[in-house]
Amino acid sequence: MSDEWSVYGITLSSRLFLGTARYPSPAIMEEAIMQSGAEVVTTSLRRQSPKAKGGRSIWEHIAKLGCNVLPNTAGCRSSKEVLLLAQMSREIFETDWIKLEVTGDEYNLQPDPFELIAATEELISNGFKVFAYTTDDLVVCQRLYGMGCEVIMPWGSPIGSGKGLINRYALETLRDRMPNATLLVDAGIGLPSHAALAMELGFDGVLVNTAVATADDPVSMSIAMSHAVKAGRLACLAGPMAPSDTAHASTPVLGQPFWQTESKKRDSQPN
Amino acid sequence: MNIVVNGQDVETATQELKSIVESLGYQCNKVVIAVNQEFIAKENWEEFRVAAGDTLDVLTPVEGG
Repeated sequence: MSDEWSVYGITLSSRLFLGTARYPSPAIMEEAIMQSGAEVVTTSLRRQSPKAKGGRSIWEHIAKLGCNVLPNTAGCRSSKEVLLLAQMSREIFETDWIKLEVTGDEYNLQPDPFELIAATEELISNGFKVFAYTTDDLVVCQRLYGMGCEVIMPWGSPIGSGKGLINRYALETLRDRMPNATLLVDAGIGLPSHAALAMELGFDGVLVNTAVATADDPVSMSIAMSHAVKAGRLACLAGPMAPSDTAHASTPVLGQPFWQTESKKRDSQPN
Repeated sequence: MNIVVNGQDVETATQELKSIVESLGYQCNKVVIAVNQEFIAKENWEEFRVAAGDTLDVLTPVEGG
């Protein structure tokens, strides 16, 4: 099934974005990304020791995959830090895409909504195309979208927790209230079933890292995630049935066999 | 003069940013630079002059989530 979509003008076939961190080895990361069919991968920037000379080898593996690179601003705590890191990312990665992360709380790595808004304004005015990682707060997401942030990525649950979609109501509300925004669930997905649910709810895609990278077999898990995303997307398009509080026989009642009537007669006869 | 590179004190004989980067052993096409938390585009490295006490952040692509 062809299900092409576009993100900031780039046409994509896959709705699975993959992170590149925490894999057992660069080779496994590379294989997992290839086997999943993911076309967007996230990266970052960190300080470079002069002793490392040519840089860390992981980037060589990422670059040769030919995926669209989505640099993040992980670790930033203010809009000033975000803008600086985004400018540096734009030069080295040669993209104006930026995955905006601003941490507001160290314990659960919860995004800071106030700095998020300020950073989005700065980034957009400097020509960046922002993918905003945020909580599932409706008003924050609406504000981001209104500022020109086309891709909004609410968390399913805290980064790396693997707890899945812990506030389904909030995510459903986002989808219902923001039908034109590109919405991806980012963070917290631990199982393919979580990814499938996000897609069933109508999200445009999911971003997964830890669940794949820390699986016993990351390559198999990346394939499983890919299937789950496709299944969830197809189910969403198919129009799921409405849940009911009462049972409804799926086998036709008309023409029901005789023995049920006879057993009732037998039960009603005196012993 | 003394400057700070990625949190470490470094002594340098030149003020030109590109020369400093090269003398520290970095490959210019694989790193990006901020001086005193201001981004310095690669095209400006040759003309940019670093002052004593300045702080340099030299970053390179890594994996990320």
